[in-house]
Amino acid sequence: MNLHDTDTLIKTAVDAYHPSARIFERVRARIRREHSGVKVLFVSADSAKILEKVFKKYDAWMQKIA
Amino acid sequence: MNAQKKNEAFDAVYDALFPDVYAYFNVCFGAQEAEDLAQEIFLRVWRAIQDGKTPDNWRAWVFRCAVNLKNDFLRRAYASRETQPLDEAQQDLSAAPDDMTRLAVQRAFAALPKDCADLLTLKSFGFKSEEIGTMLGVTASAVRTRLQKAKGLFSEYLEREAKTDEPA
Repeated sequence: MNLHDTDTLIKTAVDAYHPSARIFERVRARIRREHSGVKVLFVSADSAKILEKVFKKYDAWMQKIA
Repeated sequence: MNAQKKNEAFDAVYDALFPDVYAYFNVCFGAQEAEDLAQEIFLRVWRAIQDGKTPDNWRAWVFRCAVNLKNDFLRRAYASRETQPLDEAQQDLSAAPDDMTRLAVQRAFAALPKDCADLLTLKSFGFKSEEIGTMLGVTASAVRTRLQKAKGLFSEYLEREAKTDEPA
């Protein structure tokens, strides 16, 4: 093993600590998301039923008005 | 600077510096913390660009922030004693070494005391002793002395690893 070029060997060692392409893009996406102003809402599993009720009520109002 | 120009400016800094910043934190704390800490640094870059603050030398600015964040993290970890000791932090050496030399080099580097690995990492990114001294708050000659010692230790560990790998 050539031990003379320590600097090159250190560079080789440090290279193993660099991020994968996946990490590279994931962190960029997280930063963008944080500043995009878009909020992700987590809704409950039965949200479809809740929305259906809301729209039925809204539909009834609209029919009354009509 | 309009929003698109700001995005482009951010991407340019991110593309150029993220891999090294992540590697620096990975050497210091392991892969899990590296991702969070590197993200924090680039959130600061984002804010700086939004505020119209663009330093003359992004590389020096970013690494000064990184060294400060590392020190803050160490202080918090010491205060809470929740994180694992630095020497036990996991290195992500998942990139399969293509030969025994590379493996020995990685093992030798991973075995270094963290302050030595930290210093050698900054040096390997091309910073001069004066710049590293400014980041760490020590003189350039102190940096040179420590670098010499760290390199000596690395060579010593490497020789030991090489002997271990030699067939009996």
